[in-house]
Amino acid sequence: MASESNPHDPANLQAVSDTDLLTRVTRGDETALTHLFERHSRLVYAMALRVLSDPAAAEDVVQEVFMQIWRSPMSYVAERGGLGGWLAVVARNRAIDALRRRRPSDPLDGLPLASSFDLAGQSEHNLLLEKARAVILTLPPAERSALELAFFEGLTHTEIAAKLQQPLGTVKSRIRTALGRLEEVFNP
Amino acid sequence: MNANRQLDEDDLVLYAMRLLAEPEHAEIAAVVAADPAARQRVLELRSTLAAYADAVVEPQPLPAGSLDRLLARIQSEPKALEVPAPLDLQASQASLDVQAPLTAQAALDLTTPSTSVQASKPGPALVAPRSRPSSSLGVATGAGWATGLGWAIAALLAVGVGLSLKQSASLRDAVTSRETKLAALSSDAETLRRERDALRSNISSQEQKLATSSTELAATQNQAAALKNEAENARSSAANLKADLSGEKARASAEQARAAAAEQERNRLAGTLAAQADQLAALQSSTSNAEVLATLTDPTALRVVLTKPKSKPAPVGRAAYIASKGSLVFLGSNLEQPKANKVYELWLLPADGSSPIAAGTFLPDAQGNAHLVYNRFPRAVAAKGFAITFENPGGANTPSLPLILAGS
Repeated sequence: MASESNPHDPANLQAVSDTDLLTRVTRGDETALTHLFERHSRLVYAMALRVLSDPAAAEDVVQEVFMQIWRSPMSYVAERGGLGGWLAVVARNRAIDALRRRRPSDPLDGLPLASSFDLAGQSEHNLLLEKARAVILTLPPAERSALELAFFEGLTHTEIAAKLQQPLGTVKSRIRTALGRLEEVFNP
Repeated sequence: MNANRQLDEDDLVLYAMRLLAEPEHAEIAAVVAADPAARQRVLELRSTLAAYADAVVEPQPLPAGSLDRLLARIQSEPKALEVPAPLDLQASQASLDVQAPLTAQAALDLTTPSTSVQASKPGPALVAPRSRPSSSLGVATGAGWATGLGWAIAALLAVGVGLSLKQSASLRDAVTSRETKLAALSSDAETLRRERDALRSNISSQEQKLATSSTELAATQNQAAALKNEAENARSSAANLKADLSGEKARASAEQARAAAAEQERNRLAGTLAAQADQLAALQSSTSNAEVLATLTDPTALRVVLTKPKSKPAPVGRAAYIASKGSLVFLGSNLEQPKANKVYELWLLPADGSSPIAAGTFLPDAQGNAHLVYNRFPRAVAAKGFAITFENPGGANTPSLPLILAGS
């Protein structure tokens, strides 16, 4: 592959896809990891910080997430949200594990996807995000706040129900419905 | 809860979002791990959550030095080249576990001086992380050195170990070289596969877009065609109406023209008819007059004046005059012969009392009959009577008395 003629030249990596960078990381390419970090760490950090509200703890999560890329980069095959969104979810889950003081355990964190979903092109990706934002804006307020609470607060569903003073079934239904509407953006 | 539990959508949503407390989370994790369909669904949900995170989370700058710390960590945790994944990623899962490929490596470490392999650095060489625990064999070997069983044994061991080391080293090199090649090939294959899939996905998405666009275009074209047809129909109807209208107008004006012509013709015919009627009347009139006149004036006609028997017939004159035409007919009977060089002259006595107007001279025949037709009066003059006098031949301008006959 011609683009591998000088894999350590940073200029050559600016336009390289996340998938290619992950492949380079597989071969121990630190520059590729650096590029991935520069691309996605701010989203990963913001996600962890939102859950943890603690910059130091959030930065620890960022370090863990990128160390995991270094150790087993092929685990990350993102689809809808792109690699950044995928890493943000990994960061969120680790942040929640940290909140609940339990051992990080997720069989999916280390799992490659069986399907061959690939990272979308940047423009297509941006288009999807615009659609997703539009859908989120049009969610009924009750569904939207339930989804936000569930995604960012690190609470369990029973805790959410208690906080909202709503029946558990209602909370589940709102979260499921909101996610379902969001999925329609990707599976029209 | 057990491993055979059937998970519903709510379970998967709650699990994918980490909303479950322990131990339920761990239980569902076990079921998901064993159920490919459930795992696929969780991955889909996490993809959606990834998009959600991407869409709503505003990236924030990291604390300073974060990247440096990461790079320092990977320096201290050198990367072990993974055994390349077979193309079936699912099956390769175990090999991606960092633990797995290092098992054989640990044995090799035992025969190596402690510095050579552990001075690891990132790169293509397959090396073991420093932190990897030694196997129990390593511990036993170390104990051997410590107890000192004797030089001979030691020498034998050393020779044996030396040979073994050489073989191991060459074997390791061969394995490393092949693994490296395999890794490179496999990575290439993987990259190609991803590119192919990306292209396929792009093509499929482009095809879908194209199909959608084509459908929309066709619908739009249909609408346009329908509108065009309607417009054409409307135009055509308007044109027809216009044509009809102008036809009607033309017909109307033609009718008017015909009517006018007919009227003119009628008037002309009426005029002709009137003229003919006049002519006919005139003819009739003149025919009748001519007959009367001819009968009265025919010299061969027998004229008889009836009087009282045995009395001498007195001279009589009869005048008929139509003032509007200026026509005068005079018939005389039993008239005496005038004296020599004298003629009878008839006079019209105007109704307005003005002077008498001469109406011609005449002489009776042998039987005393005479007639005079005169129509040369200068104008229509109403008459109150007529008179006859004797005048010199050629007539006079005024009557010479006495009046021989007079009547009114």
